[in-house]
Amino acid sequence: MLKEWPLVAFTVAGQTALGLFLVAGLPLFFSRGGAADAPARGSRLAVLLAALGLMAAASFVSFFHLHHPFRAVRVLANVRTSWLSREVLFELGFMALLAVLAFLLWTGTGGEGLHRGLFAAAGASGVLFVWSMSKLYMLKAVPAWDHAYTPVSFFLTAVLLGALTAAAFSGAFRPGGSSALKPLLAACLVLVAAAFLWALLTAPVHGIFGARPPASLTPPGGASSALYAARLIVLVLGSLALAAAIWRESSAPALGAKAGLAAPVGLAWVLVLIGEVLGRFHFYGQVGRP
Amino acid sequence: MVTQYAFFFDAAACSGCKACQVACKDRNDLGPGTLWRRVYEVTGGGWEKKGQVWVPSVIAYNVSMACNHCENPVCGAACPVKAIWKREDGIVFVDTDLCIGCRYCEWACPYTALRFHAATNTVSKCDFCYDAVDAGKPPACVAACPRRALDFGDLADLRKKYGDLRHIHPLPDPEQTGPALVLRPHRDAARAAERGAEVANWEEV
Ligand code: SF4
Ligand code: SF4
Repeated sequence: MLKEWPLVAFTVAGQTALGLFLVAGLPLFFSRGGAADAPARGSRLAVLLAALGLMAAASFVSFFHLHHPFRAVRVLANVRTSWLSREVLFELGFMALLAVLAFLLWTGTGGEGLHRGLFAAAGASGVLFVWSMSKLYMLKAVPAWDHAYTPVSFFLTAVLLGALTAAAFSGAFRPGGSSALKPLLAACLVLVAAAFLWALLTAPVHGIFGARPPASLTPPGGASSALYAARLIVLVLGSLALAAAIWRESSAPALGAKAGLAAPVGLAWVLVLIGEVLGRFHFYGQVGRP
Repeated sequence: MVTQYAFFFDAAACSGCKACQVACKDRNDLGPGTLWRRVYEVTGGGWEKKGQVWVPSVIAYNVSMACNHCENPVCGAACPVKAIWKREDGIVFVDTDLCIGCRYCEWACPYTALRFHAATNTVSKCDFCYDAVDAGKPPACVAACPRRALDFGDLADLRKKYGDLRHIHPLPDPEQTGPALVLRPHRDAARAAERGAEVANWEEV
């Protein structure tokens, strides 16, 4: 299970990139009056570069799970039937569109229509990237992964970590906070609760309460219930940190976001990230390799 | 002409001696931990009350399993670099010069036939001893079995000879891959699922 660390890092970072791009980028690109004045352009660029950086890191770390990384140039050879090829195709598409859009914004080229169109295309590619990533694991040979559990978990991680990363950015770097911060923090709290409930809801099928997978030739995985419990505890702590941030925001807005919010929001981000990483190790641990 | 090579396995005859497993390792020079043919020990049951009497309901049989050179090799469909391919006579190969070692096919194959091979740093699996078979000889596992529990040949011929059973507990649903496999069941196999029989020798396979 621990050997799958490159896949854990790749999937969590890739999903966070998509979530950040959508949660932080959608209002910036599509809200009325959000046209490209100088500060809006700066924020758009920051979101694009952060998503691109995360995707680049995810792609780099994914090579560590290959035993012959230099042969990976052929990885698009089987787009016709392999979800792994498709995942890489959409991953590259997402990154390329992010880069093009960032370049246009950087140089001030292109109109609002083009930027919005590229944003939509990048978003579609990113969603297909995470969808292919889910389909890749939905194998008939692996009943533990072969249902809605996989895509729901992956997209939930994307939106949750994306929203929290956006909140952490605003909380830490915007003195005085932004008017959108409070609803964003509230949304994060709802998403952490959703992740918590989803983990509880899927627990019986995923071997936590002693349920065993049907007998097969696949050896038992190493997923431990301690890991699962640790994830739940960390998510609860993360939601407490978020609640503290919301309380601070409401009770003393004059404090200024930088002084008042960076600590609890940053803490929530770290805790929820740890929770998602533990959850992903647990995901891989459900299936053994001979 | 052979259109689909296949294995036959007689679970009623197999004693679990693992001569097939060792012959395969020996012929293919497989290091510790790499097994192209495995013998699974399937056990379950215990005691059952019938009227006033407790009778043993023990399940115990063996399943010798390699790659089944499936008619629908899902391993190859999953492979991103097309390193897994099927020859005209049905034998499925891994091209170790193409394989990037992502080990995705390992998850895709419900028979866990694909195994990581340190020598090539790629996955590997049973190649049906294609060079022996091409020369008119049997695969090493078939030749080694002292109880004649293994046989090989064209799938159509094996079916004529032995019937068309492709599934016994705890093998996966054959609809998943269309394994080129013909089985004769052990008498315990019929009640193995209901008695919760499972593979007992994970450390070995
Ligand atoms: S048994 Fe597994 S490895 Fe062999 S052809 Fe079928 S799916 Fe592929
Ligand atoms: S491990 Fe090799 S053969 Fe298997 S899917 Fe990856 S590249 Fe293909």
